[in-house]
Amino acid sequence: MAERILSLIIVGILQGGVYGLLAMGLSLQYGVCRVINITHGEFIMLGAVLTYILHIGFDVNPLLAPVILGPLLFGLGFLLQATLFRTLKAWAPSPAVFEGNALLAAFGVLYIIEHFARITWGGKLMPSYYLADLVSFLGIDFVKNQFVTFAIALALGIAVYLFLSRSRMGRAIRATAEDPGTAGLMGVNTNMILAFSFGLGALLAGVGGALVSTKIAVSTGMGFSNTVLALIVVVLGGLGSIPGSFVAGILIGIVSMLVAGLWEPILTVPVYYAMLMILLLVRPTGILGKK
Amino acid sequence: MDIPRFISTHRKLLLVGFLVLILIFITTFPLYARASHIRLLTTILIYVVLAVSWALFSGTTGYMSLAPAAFFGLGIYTMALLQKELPFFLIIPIGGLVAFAFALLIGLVTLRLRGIYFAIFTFGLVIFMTEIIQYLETRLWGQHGQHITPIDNEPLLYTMLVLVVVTVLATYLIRRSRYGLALLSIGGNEEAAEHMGINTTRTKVFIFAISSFFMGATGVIAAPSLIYVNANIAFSTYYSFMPIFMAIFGGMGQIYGPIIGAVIFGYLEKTLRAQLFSYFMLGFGIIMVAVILFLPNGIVGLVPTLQDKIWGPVPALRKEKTWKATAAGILNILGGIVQVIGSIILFMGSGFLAQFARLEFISGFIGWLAGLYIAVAIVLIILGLTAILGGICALRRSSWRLGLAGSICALFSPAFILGIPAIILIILGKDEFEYVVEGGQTEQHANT
Repeated sequence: MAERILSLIIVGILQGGVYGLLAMGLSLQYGVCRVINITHGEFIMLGAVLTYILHIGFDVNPLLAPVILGPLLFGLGFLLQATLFRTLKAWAPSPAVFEGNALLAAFGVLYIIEHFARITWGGKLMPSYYLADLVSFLGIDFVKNQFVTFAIALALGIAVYLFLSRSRMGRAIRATAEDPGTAGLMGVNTNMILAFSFGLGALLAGVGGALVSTKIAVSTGMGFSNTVLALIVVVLGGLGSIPGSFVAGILIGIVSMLVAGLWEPILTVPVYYAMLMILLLVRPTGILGKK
Repeated sequence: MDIPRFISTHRKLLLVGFLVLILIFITTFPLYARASHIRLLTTILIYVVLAVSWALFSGTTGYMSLAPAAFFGLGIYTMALLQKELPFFLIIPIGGLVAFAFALLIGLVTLRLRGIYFAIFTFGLVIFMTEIIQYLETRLWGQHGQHITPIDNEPLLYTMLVLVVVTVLATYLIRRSRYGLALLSIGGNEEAAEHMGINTTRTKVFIFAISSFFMGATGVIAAPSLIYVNANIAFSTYYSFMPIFMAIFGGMGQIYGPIIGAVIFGYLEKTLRAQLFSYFMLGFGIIMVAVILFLPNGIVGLVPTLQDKIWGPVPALRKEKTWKATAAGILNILGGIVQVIGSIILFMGSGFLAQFARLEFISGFIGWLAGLYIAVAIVLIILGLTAILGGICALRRSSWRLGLAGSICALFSPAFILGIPAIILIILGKDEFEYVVEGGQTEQHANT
């Protein structure tokens, strides 16, 4: 029993790394642009489906597919912020109105992307497993891609964290997140920074989708549940906190494995919700959130 | 006769008369309509309740609930589980109360916090409910889905009508009451509202639960026409999207905004959804984004602007009226009438095709054709109405821009032959829309 729990926890951590990556982009987008981007899951879906197409149709290695689809999704996210959300922000009388309108606009965009994808690629399951053979480690059987995807997710997470905390661009992004007005006065091109951050979030979602597609069969309808997962992870970790998303992602990964392995696979989302409820009652700012 | 003045002086009387006419129309509808049309009307009424009750809470406070489907689905499942034990009319309030209690629970946890947490929490509620129901069904009850005994169309229509009247009346009274003002002030500035002595959390939770009550009760009435439900059918995100979309399209500032949105898109949903589901949702997504961007108050918000443009005062100091703009206006109106008639013919044609397709069991191509007819008919009716309004503007010389827009709209139609001279004439007659300032200069009449 103890060994089974240990193996579930390790698999959960490996799984949680990817969840963390999926949520990180969303956290960045809310933290900087103040948009609850509920289209996030659709970007994950685009990343996953495009990876499948590149892998099966053009024989591209799924782990290299982000090199091609990353810039594409970055551009899409960039455009979305530079046109739609920027206009909404300019016309909204107050930040609260902007948040509400942006949420509803994102709700519309969600359906546009999902059904565009459904018209183009249909609704079937797309299995494109990669590195799906087993390895034995500490007496437990793992699938190879669990290690690979975790390593990539962790590396990307650290890279984004370093980028935000060390580089000049990262400093500009943090300044804009904290106080766009003052950042603008200091010579930061805030509109550019907002669009860049949104694009970066979309790119991270796309890479996350590519990693997901190596493990499970993807489909054009997968966006919604992934958005819900990413939203829960982000709130658990603290809205706008990048390390928080990663920690919460790993926590959710462990919980999902334990619930599915020891109790009832259908009940993972209700368990997340129970965690979310307790968190909102006790510490609404999230595990690593400030304020 | 001065129509605007007549309307404004007898406003209440006209409104009551209009409502009575609608009620008579709906109550007598089963006497002369086919069964499929009765079902269509019931569906529209279902969407009316969902959209109005969504706008009651989210439209006024700005707290965006993304989960009408969760409460609607609760109603459906209440009906599915209780239909054997209780009479239909008792289940309706019970379904509402179940949704009420659930909303109370959610509200107490999330509505103390900022709106963003509420929106995030409600977004995934559909999946939460689906998984809980699936767990109960597979593990405890040992069955997949529930069968619901169908009920005749007419009783369903009349129960739905009663619920619509109750919902609209309750919404109207709440908006007029202290609670309504409290909601509006929360939407305007929550901190200020709190300092004014409003118990904001209690108000929000209470109204959220009330609006959920109506959604749950609607779910009970919608359930019998589904015949079979499972968790995925009852808790579909589709029923979250549609009411929100309808309320935004209609405009949430007035109580009749969501009703207008629900009537228009309830009709389109029922006629187009089966054949062209993905295209239909794609189009709705695009319309939703466009409305949020360009019509923040929905189409109801357009009314005062248009009213002012069309019936608004025209300055006395005008150049003399000549035949040019008048002729252009008449051409506009004629073109608009042709377009409206054309669109009505297309609507009827699509209904005929749909019937034909159902009789022959060939929904594929014929269905597509019917969908195409309706799409063209919608475009035509919008163009036609714009042309007629533009024509009135041209006749009264109240807005040159709208007049020109009307002429351009008259161009895209079977009556394009009327549009070409209309555009030429209205451009030639532009100076008739300008008024003379004392020095003899002319200036474009700035009418906003």
